[in-house]
Amino acid sequence: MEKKKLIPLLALAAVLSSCGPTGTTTESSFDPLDEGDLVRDEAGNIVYDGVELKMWSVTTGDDASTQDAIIAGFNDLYEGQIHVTTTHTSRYDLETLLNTTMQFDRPNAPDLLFNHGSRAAEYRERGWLLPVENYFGKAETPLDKDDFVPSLLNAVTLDGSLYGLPMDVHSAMVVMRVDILEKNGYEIPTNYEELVAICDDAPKKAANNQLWIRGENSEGYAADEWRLASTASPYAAFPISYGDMWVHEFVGYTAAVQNGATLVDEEGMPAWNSDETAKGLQLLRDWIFPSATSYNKSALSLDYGSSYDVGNAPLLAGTAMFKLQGPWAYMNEMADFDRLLRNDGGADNITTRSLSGLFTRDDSEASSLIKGEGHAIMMMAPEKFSLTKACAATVFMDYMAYYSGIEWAKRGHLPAAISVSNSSAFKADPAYEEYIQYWGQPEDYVVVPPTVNYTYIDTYFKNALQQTLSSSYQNQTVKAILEDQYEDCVSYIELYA
Amino acid sequence: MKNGLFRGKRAAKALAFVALLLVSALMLLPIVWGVFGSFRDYNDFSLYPGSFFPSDFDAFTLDGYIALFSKTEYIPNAANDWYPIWNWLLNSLIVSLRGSLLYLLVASLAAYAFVFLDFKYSDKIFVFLIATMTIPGVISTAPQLLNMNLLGFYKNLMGLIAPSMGGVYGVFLIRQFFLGIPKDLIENARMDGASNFKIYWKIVLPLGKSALFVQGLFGFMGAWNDVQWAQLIVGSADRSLWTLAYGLKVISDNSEAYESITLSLASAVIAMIPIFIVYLVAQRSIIEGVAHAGVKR
Amino acid sequence: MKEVTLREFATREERRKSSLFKAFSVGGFLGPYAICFALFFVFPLVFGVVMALCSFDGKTMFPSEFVGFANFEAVFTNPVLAKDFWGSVWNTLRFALIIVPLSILLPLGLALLINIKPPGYKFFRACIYLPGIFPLTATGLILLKMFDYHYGFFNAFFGLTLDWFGETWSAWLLIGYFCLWCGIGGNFIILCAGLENVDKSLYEAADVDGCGAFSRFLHVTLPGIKDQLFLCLFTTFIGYMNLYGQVYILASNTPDQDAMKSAIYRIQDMLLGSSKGYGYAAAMGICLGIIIIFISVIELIVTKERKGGHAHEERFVSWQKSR
Repeated sequence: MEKKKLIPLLALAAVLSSCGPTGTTTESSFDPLDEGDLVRDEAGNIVYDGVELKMWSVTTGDDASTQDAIIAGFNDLYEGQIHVTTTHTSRYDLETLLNTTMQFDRPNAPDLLFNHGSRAAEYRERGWLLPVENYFGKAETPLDKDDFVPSLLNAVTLDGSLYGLPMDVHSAMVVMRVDILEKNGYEIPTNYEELVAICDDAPKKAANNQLWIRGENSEGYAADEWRLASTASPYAAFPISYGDMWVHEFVGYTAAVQNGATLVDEEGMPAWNSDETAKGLQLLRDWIFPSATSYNKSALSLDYGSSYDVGNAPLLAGTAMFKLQGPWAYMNEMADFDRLLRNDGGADNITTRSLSGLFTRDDSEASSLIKGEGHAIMMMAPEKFSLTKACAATVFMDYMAYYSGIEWAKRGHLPAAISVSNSSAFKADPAYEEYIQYWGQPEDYVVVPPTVNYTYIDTYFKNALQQTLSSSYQNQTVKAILEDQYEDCVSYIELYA
Repeated sequence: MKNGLFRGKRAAKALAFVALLLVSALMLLPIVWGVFGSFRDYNDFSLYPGSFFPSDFDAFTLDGYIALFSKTEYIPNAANDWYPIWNWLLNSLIVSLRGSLLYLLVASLAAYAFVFLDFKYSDKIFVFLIATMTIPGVISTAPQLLNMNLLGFYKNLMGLIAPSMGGVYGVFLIRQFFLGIPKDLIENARMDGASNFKIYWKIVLPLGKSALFVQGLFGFMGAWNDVQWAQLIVGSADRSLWTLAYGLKVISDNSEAYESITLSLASAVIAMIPIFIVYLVAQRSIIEGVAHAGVKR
Repeated sequence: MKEVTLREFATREERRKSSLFKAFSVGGFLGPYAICFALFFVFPLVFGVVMALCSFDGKTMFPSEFVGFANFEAVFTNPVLAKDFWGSVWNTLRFALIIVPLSILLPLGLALLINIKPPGYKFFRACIYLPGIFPLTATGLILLKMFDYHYGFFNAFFGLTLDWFGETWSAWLLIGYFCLWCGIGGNFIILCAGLENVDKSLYEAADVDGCGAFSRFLHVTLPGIKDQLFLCLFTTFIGYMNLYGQVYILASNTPDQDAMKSAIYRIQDMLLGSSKGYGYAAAMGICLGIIIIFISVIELIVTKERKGGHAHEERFVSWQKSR
């Protein structure tokens, strides 16, 4: 009985496996003369008659609602012609969903994917993506590649073809307590040296009972009441930890690139096992564990170990002056301070700066760089290809790249299209004046260059970063940690090659 | 002599009482902390981390729960403008109940065969079955997904029920309990002319009730709490097909804001409530089942 | 009248014994399960074994090439695979060696206390089992928040400065605590039911015989629940050799991942993303399975001997009684 059931199933599996991968669009099938299912009007323009596009997006929470509002604008503009439906999925679940769907359920795969551009190389290797450039041509949608930030465009350019259109770039940023800085006679720091000068001086002041702070507290003071910092515990002005997402997604890489490191080499292999990377990570290690040889003499941060979002509570309490944060949360941050210090300036008591220049003592071109992540819209290889859909998709991509505008930038997503961030409409917005300008120019942002080994390169770099900042690894040099992780990383890549 | 024994027994009971009280308190402590935490303001956590309860009345908040039940802003399409928590609850109930009941039937029939029908190689087959338990399930995760797809169970609640049907543990557990049923009882019934099915239904099942309840509860909870497999099977399906455990995990993953401790704890509490209710009810049945089986002996 | 009954009886007996009828009834009882087992257990498993003998191209889940035992060879000889996988097996084994005895002795002790039936024992029984009924993700989340380094309740309350999830040893300690807190419920309930079903007359006989509490436990209680104990030992061991969720939830941020990853965690890592690692993952799964089988067989042999030992003791007791 058992056997009988088994044989047809196995046979079925065999049949399925032989026909599984076929029947999908191949990359090289573009023929410029082929009109496919296009319908044109007398003037020769493509007619979009109720084209439905399905998009999966990696954005969640407030980002998702902002994005939905932007897409709703597109849907209104193209009512009756093109309609985009979006599903939001967190970065943790998106990979699994893509994997299962692209293998078992291609008919229900999305047409478009709004995800981090650095993933494109891996997706293409699995045969999930279509090159987009030809369809821009076919649809006569304008595409000026020179108008996009080179690093972002490069991330989705694979073997010379474009596999998606960059939308934006974002990173972590720094939130600063202006009120505390001013009250204690400090200026807003613009580079690492200035930052360390403040962070080395503040603990001394605190120890001498001279450092003014205010904020949320459990000692019975009003939040906006100035008081002197307690001498009982050491003052650390800029909390970071290896458990913090801001550190392992952005600050670790940023420290590396600001000190001149290259993350990935020409062959797509990891290149972060360098002295430059070690220099950057050593600076972060000294941040928490200062030594006789370190530039900072006192700890900029307590050892928060595996905790995350470690800056939130100290910044609100005034026991820190700086913290790391995702720019998409800055609006919430302002709301928090509007509430906390409502009688004395509210959100004016904080300001924000990009990571530019904060993690190196060098003064080179690289020192202003910020490691970011760029969103891009990619076109998924569908089971049944429709040229009309592909052309409609380019119209949507173009809209998203050029008309997402200031609302998307308020959430820290700086436009990938240079002409947008230079436009007067963009700069005229009060939000630009107030905080977006401080997040720097999109050109300062770099992302990981395209590599099919992205997952491994990223995972093992983060391991090295975690160990560098962990108290239990202080007996190993940064360089040794990097070499260890590099070896494992390369071994896995070679195993799969 | 008798008095002394009685006194000794009382002392033992008192000691056992104290010990159990302590252990129970330890068991419940984190859960109680979590439940109170789900009503507690983020600031209160950071200012008074050492306080077990919210530090004062102002620190009480319903924000976590409000956020859970009013997550409307994500979803633009009016047809789908809230997280269908009630749908998820229903799905979880369907999967858990149907799955555990079907499996109980199938597994108890098999256990009966192993214990009371002495067929050729029954021992060897059983040893083989047990041996398969040692094989890590992770090997068959990917093929199982393929299997569900072949059977048309992908993006279908059946895909969550079917894989547990082949489980060995339940057969093992139920057989272990059936072994304790006196063989004479069965032989006598056979002499009286009862068919195997009648013996199974009228004698063995009632006697093995406690085992069935235990396995039923295990099966129910396993299905209820599953997140990983649910993600693979219904994760890419329409939201209304999700199970409660998976849906709540998605909500808590999606709220990355730093105030999320209240929300995450609230989602944990919501995930716990339904199974807690089931447990309250089933717990009584288990005790009865156990007692029943005890009396019959 | 009597004649007919006898004949009826005889035919019934004949029918019962006829092999055809027997096959029919066995099929009827075992059939449904056999089908399910074949369909939902054997088939995926066989396919999994096939996967272990194949290589994958990273694009689909279907094997692309038959490579024989190359994957197994890699698991043993490739430096990084061997280091990571066998290291993780060793982590798992060490942990199982500690946690399995605890996961049986602790519930056994609690079940014995319950069996004394102090006031409110039903309530206590419910409390002890309670944490295990909840999703691991929910209870794990509570632990994560409670043991947070700077803002967790535990450190703040006891004035400790220990990064529970940052140090390898303390992370394992918490995983152990998590496993006991949420994992002993099943064994506990099984042992409670087992104790409940131990023949009461045996206890009385032992009392009459003047047995001490300890010898009563050794000669009456333990043999009475040996089936349940065996069940617990066997399933708990297999369960913890498959340890994954607890480590994933509590320790995925611990810096020394090599010291934290369990075998299944490693395998799971290889199953994520591209399918290139599937062949190795399947081979690792089979290696782990063989280890588990090997140790389980040893367990089986040892417990069988122990059973024999008990049989001797029992005979000795009855012999004593008869004198």
